[in-house]
Amino acid sequence: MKIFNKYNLDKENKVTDERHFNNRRKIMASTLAFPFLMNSNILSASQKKLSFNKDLDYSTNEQTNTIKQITSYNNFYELGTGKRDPMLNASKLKSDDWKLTIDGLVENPFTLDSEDLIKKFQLEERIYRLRCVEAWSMVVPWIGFELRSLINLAKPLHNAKYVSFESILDKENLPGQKRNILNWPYKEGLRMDEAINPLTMIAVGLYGKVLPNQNGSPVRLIVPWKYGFKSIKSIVRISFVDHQPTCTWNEQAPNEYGFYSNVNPYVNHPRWSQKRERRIGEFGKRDTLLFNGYSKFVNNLYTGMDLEKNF
Amino acid sequence: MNRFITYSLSLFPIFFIFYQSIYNDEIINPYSYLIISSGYIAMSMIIIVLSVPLLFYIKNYIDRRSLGIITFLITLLHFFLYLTDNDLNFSSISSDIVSRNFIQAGYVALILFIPLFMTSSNKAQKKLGTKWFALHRLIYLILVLSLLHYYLIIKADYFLFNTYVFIILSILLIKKRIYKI
Repeated sequence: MKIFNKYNLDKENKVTDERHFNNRRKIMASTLAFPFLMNSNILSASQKKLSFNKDLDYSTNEQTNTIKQITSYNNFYELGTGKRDPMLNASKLKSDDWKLTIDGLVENPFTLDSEDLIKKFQLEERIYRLRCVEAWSMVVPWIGFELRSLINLAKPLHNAKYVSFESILDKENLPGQKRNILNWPYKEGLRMDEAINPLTMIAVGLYGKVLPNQNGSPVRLIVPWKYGFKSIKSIVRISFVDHQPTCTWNEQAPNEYGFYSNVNPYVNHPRWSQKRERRIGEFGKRDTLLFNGYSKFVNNLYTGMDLEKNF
Repeated sequence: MNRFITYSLSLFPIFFIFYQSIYNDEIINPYSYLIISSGYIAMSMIIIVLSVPLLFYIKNYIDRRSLGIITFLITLLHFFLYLTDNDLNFSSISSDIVSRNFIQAGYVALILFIPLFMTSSNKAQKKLGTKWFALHRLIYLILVLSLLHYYLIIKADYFLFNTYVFIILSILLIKKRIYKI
């Protein structure tokens, strides 16, 4: 029965592998030529394949979500505030000729272009859980490299205590930035020890190919033990600073979104209970784990800290 | 006949969203889709109920009281979807009541809606006389509370909310001019 298929990740993955999925979309688009489907980045079956190793140390062996789930249910306000908007507006993000600037309190500031992002570092696939603050979660096979390998290249100075990240600002093309929904550009930040934690990753790909635009093409951060909004998308600048950097959602509602925003079922949130979450594709909810189940890797970062105050 | 037309037309959106949530595989999070859409439908229904007197020709085919009853039932559905979304878990539902403002606003709106539903029969209307009309003015308060319920859950984008407020204010203004209330 169809309804059971829908809620069964196992079956769904067996039935639709990505190749067939893309073909199906192509056939649909070419015969029906729905303008909104033509727009969607999900169609670009020709996306560049990446070469990478498979990581075994940090990856979860849980069932991954389908490419369709991962690319058509997104929060990326630059491309619109609806969950499907980022997919529908994906082509409005101009991610070719990207420049990622690394600067601030470093010995060696540098710039990476689109080519560098996928060639300069040894890429690996990491299957991480992603927990959104809106109480849903997915399991995603990202491709990228550890942020610390980029930090090692930059050689931060002793007074560099934090890392600040900034997303693309393009009011002309990005539909979400035409209105002042948030204080553009989107900004995020990590403490230096969080940034050099081996879990912290710079992703450039998904399911073996370069990142689709709606997932933060061409380069994004992945911090799996924090709520999804910390994992900033489409990064243009990484700066090393000596003070706690501005974070967009924290700026928007400081009582709701703290600087740390670690996944924590014990910290009450004014909108959504964080005790439980719905894994996309599942019917019931499951319990949320402290640090999204990554405690053994990140516990030591927060010893002696009151996590209810520093939420 | 009017009652039949009213029921079939106004229940269509509910059938539509349930059909969508089961058969449309573009909907990735069906449960959340159902809760959010039923909320929008319920609030839109209140607006429609309030604007029926303005629909000069169509209003002859609408049974306004049935429309009100359906609106209540959709609100109730919205509430039950919320309860089952929490796996009917008592502790998470009660912690919502204590600590989440938008949930509190929703509860008050729902509770105020109950006496309106209970007094929707002809018998009750006769019994209450002029008090019936005074009681059913509560729908304005329910609408305000629903708007508050909606406002408090918005994270950043107020566009659709503002559109709702604009439409509601326009309808109330027109009603005021026509009926001088």
